[in-house]
Amino acid sequence: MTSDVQLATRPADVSARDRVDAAKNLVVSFVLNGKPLSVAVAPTELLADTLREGLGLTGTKVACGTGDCGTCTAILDGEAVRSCLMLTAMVAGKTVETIEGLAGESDIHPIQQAFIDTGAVQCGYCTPGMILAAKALLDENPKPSADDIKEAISGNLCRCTGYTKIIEAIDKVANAVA
Amino acid sequence: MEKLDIVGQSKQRVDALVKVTGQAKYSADLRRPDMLIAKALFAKYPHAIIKSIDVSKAEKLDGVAAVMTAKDLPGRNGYGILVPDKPVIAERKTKYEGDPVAIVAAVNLDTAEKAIALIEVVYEPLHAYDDPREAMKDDAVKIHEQHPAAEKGNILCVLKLDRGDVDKAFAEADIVIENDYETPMVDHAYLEPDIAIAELDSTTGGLILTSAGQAVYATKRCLAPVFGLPQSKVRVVAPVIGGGFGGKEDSTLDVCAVAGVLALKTRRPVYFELTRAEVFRTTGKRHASYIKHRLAANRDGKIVAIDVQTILDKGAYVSMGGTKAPLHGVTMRTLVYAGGTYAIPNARARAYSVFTNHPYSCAFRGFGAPQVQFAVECQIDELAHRIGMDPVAVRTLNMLKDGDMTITGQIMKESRGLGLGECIQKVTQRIKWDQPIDHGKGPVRRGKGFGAFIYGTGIPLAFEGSSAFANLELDGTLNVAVSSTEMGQGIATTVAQLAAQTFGVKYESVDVVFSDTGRSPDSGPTVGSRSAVMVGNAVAEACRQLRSRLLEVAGKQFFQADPSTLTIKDGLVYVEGRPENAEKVATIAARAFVSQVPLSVIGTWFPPQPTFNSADGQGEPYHAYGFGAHAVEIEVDTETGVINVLRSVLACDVGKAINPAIVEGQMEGGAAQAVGYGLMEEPIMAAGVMQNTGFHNYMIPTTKDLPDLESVIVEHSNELGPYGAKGIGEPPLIAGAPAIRNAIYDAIGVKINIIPLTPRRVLEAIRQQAGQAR
Amino acid sequence: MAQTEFFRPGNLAAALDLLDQYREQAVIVNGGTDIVERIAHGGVRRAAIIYIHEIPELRGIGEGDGFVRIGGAVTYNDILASPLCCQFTALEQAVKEIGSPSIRVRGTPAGNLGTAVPAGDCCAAMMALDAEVVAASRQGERAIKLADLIIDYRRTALAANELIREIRIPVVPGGKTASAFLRLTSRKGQDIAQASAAVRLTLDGDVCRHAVIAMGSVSKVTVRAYSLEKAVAGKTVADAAEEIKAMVPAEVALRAADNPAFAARPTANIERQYKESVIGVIVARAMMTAYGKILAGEQ
Repeated sequence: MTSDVQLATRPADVSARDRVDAAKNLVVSFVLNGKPLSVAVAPTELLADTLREGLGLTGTKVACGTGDCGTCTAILDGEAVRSCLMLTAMVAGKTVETIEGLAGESDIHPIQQAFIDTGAVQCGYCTPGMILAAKALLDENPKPSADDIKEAISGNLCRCTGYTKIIEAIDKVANAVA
Repeated sequence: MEKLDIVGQSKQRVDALVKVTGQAKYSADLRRPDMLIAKALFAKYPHAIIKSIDVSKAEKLDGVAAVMTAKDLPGRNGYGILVPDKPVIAERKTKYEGDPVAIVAAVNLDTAEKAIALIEVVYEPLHAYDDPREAMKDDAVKIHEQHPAAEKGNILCVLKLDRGDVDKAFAEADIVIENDYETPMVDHAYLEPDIAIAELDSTTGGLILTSAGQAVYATKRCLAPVFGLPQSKVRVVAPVIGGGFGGKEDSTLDVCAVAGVLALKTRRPVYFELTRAEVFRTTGKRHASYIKHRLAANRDGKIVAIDVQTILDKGAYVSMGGTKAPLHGVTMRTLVYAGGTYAIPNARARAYSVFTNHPYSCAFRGFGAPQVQFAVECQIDELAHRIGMDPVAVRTLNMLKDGDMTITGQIMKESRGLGLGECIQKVTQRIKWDQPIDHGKGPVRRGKGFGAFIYGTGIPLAFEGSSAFANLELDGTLNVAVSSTEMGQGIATTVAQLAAQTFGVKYESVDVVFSDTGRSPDSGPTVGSRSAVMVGNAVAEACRQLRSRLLEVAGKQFFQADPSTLTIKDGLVYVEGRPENAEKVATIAARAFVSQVPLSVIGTWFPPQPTFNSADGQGEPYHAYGFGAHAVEIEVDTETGVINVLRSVLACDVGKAINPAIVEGQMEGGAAQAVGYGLMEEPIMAAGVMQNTGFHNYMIPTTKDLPDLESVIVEHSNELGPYGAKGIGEPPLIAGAPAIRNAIYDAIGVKINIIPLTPRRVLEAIRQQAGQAR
Repeated sequence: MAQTEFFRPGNLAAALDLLDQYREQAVIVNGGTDIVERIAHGGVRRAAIIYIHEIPELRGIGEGDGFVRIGGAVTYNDILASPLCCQFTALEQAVKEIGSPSIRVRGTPAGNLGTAVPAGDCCAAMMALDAEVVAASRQGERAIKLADLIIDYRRTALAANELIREIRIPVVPGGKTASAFLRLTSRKGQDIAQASAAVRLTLDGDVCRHAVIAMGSVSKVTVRAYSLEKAVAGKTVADAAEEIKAMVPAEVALRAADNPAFAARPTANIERQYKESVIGVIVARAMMTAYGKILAGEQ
């Protein structure tokens, strides 16, 4: 075992909605939204649950729990992943970004602003995941084509918008005149 | 006419910022101290006699706070929006997979699940009905041994529409087109699963239910008897909702009932969330339909009569399916729209609503209209092909115009907005309908298809109408409260724009409270494409009253002028034309406050009372109708049956777009759901058991399944709507599926009358036709 | 059962030690896109979770001894970023459409092979490319041909203490050989194959000298279509493609006798008919794509 995963001695708080009825005997350290932290988790605990239940970051949504909808998207070392398909123990030593980490002190992120401006938000349940998938795309490929955008969010389901304004919002950020 | 500077603008949604930052709190994001987690043991067999239930092992499990079966309930074991026929917990029989047999509350989810696994139930399975045509036969086993509303056996109701002399018209017509059509059940597939939190109300001794629901007042009324509480002691709150589309009018009752009885039993807050698989298996669906559609026309293309029989798969419970008078529900809509958006002098329609062992069929965007208008729009296309006329020309020839009568006998009036002609014109122009398409030569062929639709605004029942609350604050800001829910459709924003425009403050000065029976009067349920119009009018009425009270004070105490010469704009009051001498609304509000002028107002609005006679289908069910046209261009892979939608152009007559971006959002979302409805969405049922209960096998469109969805807003003003508005929530879904089906015919000459048009179904039809040709 | 333990071995030897120690009581987690859901929701409960995804020895892509070598923890995205891997068109095409982008970031070809489901796109591509895996255990290593690795639905020939250290694809000289992969899905985005085919075609002039054809989602495991391979040999590609379009290869096994689990599904009959209707078309199209690649001078 590497040093960033070890047995913890202190009992963790157990939230009533935690799926795992097991001891949180693993301390996992990672960087979350720019800040290093250590959190006690059960070995089989999902990152989505740690974020939502353990850390109270409920901007990450869970709509299916089977990796099919993309609402639980988080950014792991710069890449969009599904936090419902990651054990928290797997992110030890890594950097994780969630929707809560995107806005600055005074300004929201340009992608967030573009979603507002283009009317890309309806019920909002897919929105955090969509925005994070878009951010991972634009960080890697600042000038994506329309097809690149469609591909990047093809695993993020939306039932309200038909994606048209979401694609428009991402395109708007990419092709904004600097 | 007053110049509109707020209504008609794409104002930033009031809920956008919290949603893009992840701060919006949905039901799943809420916590209560000392909260228990609930789980339900759902029926193992969709249709079975329950012989025995043993919960003793579950009760003994550490961490279990309560296990309940039907005998432990505090009140009536039945609820439903129209008829209380759905049990909280099944007692003697299970009627579909979603019937709870026992429910549990425990300290955490794991424990609750373990407890559920320890409950032992002995069943005697019965034949489960998948097909209403089988279930309606005389010898079928009655699914409800005794049902409060059923007419005969498994037939819940038969509704009729009769107009003119149908038999004569058919006998004399040049052309008769007769086809059978089938449309599937569909899951709403809202992303937010169903959730309820129930907790005791320490003040009233009653219950507070927090749940993603579309009708907070209806939930209170339906469930109070279940809890054995007076309605006054049940408060229902809906936080922002992650999509509803009609489904959360009912499904919220399911989760609230379970959480509520457990909270009463344990005296602790109870949280109940359905897993995605449970959402698929247990919550309501669109009514599947089996339609026999006969259409008679003359050689010149004029339709003279229709004769339509629709059999609806009701599923296990009435839900919004409708009964005989006065609660007609979805069943009635299949009569009203049996002739589509066309003037047809002779009409006969019969609609049968039949129980099966499927999930209850409920409200779903379009409410019966997508089913029958799929049939109508296919029929019209076939008529056009038979007489060698352009499909759009046939529609234009027959469409309802000012002074025409619908098949329910209602006269259409341009003053209520009749924009179909303009929709058709805009769509055909944009998709270049008159230019021939290159159908292609290889295995992949192209085609264009068209569909048109009509949809009434509101609920065609006697109670239709709304109340809303407006309170002018002393700093000049305005609070508006409505019981409508914000499920993404943008009602909070729309209401804020209407209030700001009507009263005269800045859009940013209005805050809207929504969907809390404790904080707002009854604006009615958030369904039926009604809220912008019904609730909007009630809000506007409240704001008009506030405005005139304020102007009265301003005229008397500030300007020494007749109030009618004054205006309010951007929070300033002044004599019309003299903005340089203005007083702030806040200043006048403060004076009004000390002058015993009430600054809290309930505004109400009722449309002309809807009428509908379920014996002959005649009446004026809606005060106004929305219209639209939808054209698509598609590709068919003739070797695999795969359809690719290349273009989608949709025009809707919305009366007035209060917020054009929100209206476009409704249109784009509706068009996307239409592609899903037309091409891929279909619960696969086998003896009442749903086979595809995840997003990996119940398919909804992804970005790669949709083209850029083009929308054109058309505005033919409705004299009774706020600023001319009509409903827009549901209509955009209606004509997409038939347009796709018609495009396939255009591409390859193959006629398919069953949706969804899955690759398998398309390929089968192609091969069948090739086989017949040989 | 005792509490599950999570292990994150820092190198291959440590991983193999753990695996040897826990054997059936261990579950290997690589990218996690398939197994994590089952671990978290209780479908798979083991004493030890052995997380191998970040073991350096498993992350490399290289070339040697006539093979392209793909480490056991190499992701789909790594494949797409590697010209070495993308020289195999079938592999590139198979990987490109697996799941969704956030699945391809984590998911691995080795995981796809180890999971051994009939819809595994990599399984078909790798089989057509004549790939083999190197299975490692504390006791040593052995090479296993793909056809021998996948022995049944979700079952491989790997022992409980073995893991896939690398996948090897033989490099065939270009010019006359190319490959392609094609799949048919119900939905265009994020879906698994209804039917898929991978073809490696070797030409002799205009004539098929040799074609290796693998099919997915038409049997309980990925299968070689030997019957089609035989049928196309010696024919021009155009003739061969036309001929196999309408064929239902003998290796398609969806009936109760050879595929009871599939046949038990309530929808098996209609699914089977459709799969049988299109598999020939899919193979023919993949073959035509490979042919096009050869003509265009690609491998």
